[in-house]
Amino acid sequence: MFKYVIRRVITSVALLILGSMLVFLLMRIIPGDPTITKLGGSIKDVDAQTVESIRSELGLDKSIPQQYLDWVSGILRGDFGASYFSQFSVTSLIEQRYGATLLLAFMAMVIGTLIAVPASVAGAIWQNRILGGVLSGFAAVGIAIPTFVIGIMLIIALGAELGLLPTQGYVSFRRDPFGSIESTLLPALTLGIGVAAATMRILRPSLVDVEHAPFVRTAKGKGLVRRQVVVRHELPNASIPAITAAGIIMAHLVGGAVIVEYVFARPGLGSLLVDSVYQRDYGVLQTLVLLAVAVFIVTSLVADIVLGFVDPRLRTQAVT
Amino acid sequence: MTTIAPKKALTDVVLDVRDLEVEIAIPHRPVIRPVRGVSFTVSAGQRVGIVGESGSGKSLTALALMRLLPPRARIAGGIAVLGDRDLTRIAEGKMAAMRGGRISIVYQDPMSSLNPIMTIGRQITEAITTHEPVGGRAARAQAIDVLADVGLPQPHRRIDDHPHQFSGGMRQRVMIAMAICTNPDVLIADEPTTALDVTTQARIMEMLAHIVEERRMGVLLITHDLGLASSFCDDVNVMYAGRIVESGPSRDVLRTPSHPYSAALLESICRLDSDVDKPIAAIAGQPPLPHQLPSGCPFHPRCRHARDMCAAEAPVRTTSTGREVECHFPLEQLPPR
Ligand SMILES: Nc1ncnc2c1ncn2[C@@H]1O[C@H](COP(=O)(O)OP(=O)(O)O)[C@@H](O)[C@H]1O
Ligand code: SF4
Ligand SMILES: [Mg+2]
Repeated sequence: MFKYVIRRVITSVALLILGSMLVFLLMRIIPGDPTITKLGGSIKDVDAQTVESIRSELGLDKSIPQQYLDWVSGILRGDFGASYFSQFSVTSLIEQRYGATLLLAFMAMVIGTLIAVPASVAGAIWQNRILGGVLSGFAAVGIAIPTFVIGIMLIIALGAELGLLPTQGYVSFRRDPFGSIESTLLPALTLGIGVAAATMRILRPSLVDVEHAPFVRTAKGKGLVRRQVVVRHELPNASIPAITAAGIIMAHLVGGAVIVEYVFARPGLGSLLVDSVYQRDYGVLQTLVLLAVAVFIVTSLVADIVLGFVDPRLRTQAVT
Repeated sequence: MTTIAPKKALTDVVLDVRDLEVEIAIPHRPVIRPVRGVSFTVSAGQRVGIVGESGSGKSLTALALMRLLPPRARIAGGIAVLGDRDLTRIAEGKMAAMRGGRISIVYQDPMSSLNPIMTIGRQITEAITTHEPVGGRAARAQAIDVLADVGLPQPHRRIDDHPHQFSGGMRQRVMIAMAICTNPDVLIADEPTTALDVTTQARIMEMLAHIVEERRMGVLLITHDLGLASSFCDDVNVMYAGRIVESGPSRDVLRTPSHPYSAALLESICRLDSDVDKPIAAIAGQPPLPHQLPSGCPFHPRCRHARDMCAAEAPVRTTSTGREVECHFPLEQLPPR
């Protein structure tokens, strides 16, 4: 098990380095000069010397490999560099904003799992054609409908019409935990529906596959009732593909979070990302994209380690 | 619920199967009946065999008794009385309590029949706690004991291992442990050693014989191997195309087969004594498929003794001196020596 974890950590670090290079290069390739943005959109009235000084202030006068190394060594020291646009450092911008996103992602994950797992298990236990159709329909629609449409529908239904939940903004968790969770419920539900749909799309077919496995017949032969067979034997085995796909589900979640924060006007990392794109703020943008890549890689790593605990075949040698 | 006259008290019969029929209805295909009126009994401590080529309906018979038939198959007739309950009629909830408690099954493939991500200990204790009001610790102690009984070395240490850490033979021992840990009245073993090599097969059958003797458990051994059945069983039932065509004490059937099919099975073993793996392929022709049964006696296209009457009329069962045969022209039985 130990060896297996070490091997996965090493590949993850390698992936992360590769990812950071890609992100950095991408930022240099996309058109638009941040110097111009910083100068207010026009270079005409400014003398060459001011432009030069801004370029050197941002480190843009150095060679690209040098810029990359500066960036990476900064990150390793916990310094994500300066925003090209605002006065704040990227680090402080992220510090102000990550709370809203973290709470949103966590709650969406919980809501998504609380929908997907019981629904899939119920589908497997009752094997009712109508229930199965409803669940498949939910999964298909949940994936097909864009997140912002779900969000707007929920805002209209639960927020605007019934006035049950706040639809805009965010209350800091540290200041008011209850209010914070309340202000996150609707956006988390919006995102959670997508997560649930993505999870069910993997979990339900895998539950169907495992149903015909010989060990399931053995479990029935012991005298277990349907519910016990599904919960103790089918679900743990069927969850293996779902855990493997956790990275993909997380990517779904990150992409959705950007949109949800925008729709619900939440001051999170997603809206920071949208702003930085508009402002061509490379300093912020590259850090946020790298963060998203890191989240994907770390999620996959954690998923693989969890898989090692779930599936003993991965951690111990087989007898041949 | 049907209750059957107390035959049990007299003869100790624990499982009484009569005229069992299994039907499979797959949409857009004719309904087939792969099990067509099978009858036999199993008494406490008795070892009964069902022998026949692949496709003769042995596994479906076993699965019907467990009420674990595949989705499109159903019991279409007959009864199967275990104790005083008709297994073909009791409610699913009551049947679940019987499964693994009063009647257990061991399948052919020990590789895939165990849950790969659960320790063998948990899989066995699960069977115990489902049927007995014991706590986790007591169940674990019981599991260690039963693993020792089936000949697993160092059971106290290996109980927390997972299936992939065992060889095929050891896995089958674990399967047997799981099936017998609740002391069922009847143990069904469907080709329990077919997937294993000959030496392992012999050791496991020896262990099984010892255990069922000790616990006075009735056994239904299902196999395509007449040699194995006759060495292990008290009685054998020879099955062909969904019917039992000959039954009797295994010594007698083996020495003086009365049905031409039994004789052909026996000959194929004797002829290919060294090649134990494929003894039955030696009978010319193929066993019939359930949807194209020959008229009259289903064996007639392959039977060396067939006459005109055999294709026209199905033979009825005749009984003489503890032997039942379904043939128009049973082979002449030699006087007992
Ligand atoms: N799930 C099924 N669907 C359709 N036909 C089946 C199914 N299971 C078994 N059969 C048919 O029933 C017959 C008997 O099968 P089985 O009981 O498995 O035979 P055996 O165990 O003696 O080899 C076979 O001819 C097979 O084609
Ligand atoms: S009834 Fe006729 S065909 Fe059938 S086994 Fe007997 S002799 Fe052969
Ligand atoms: Mg079979």
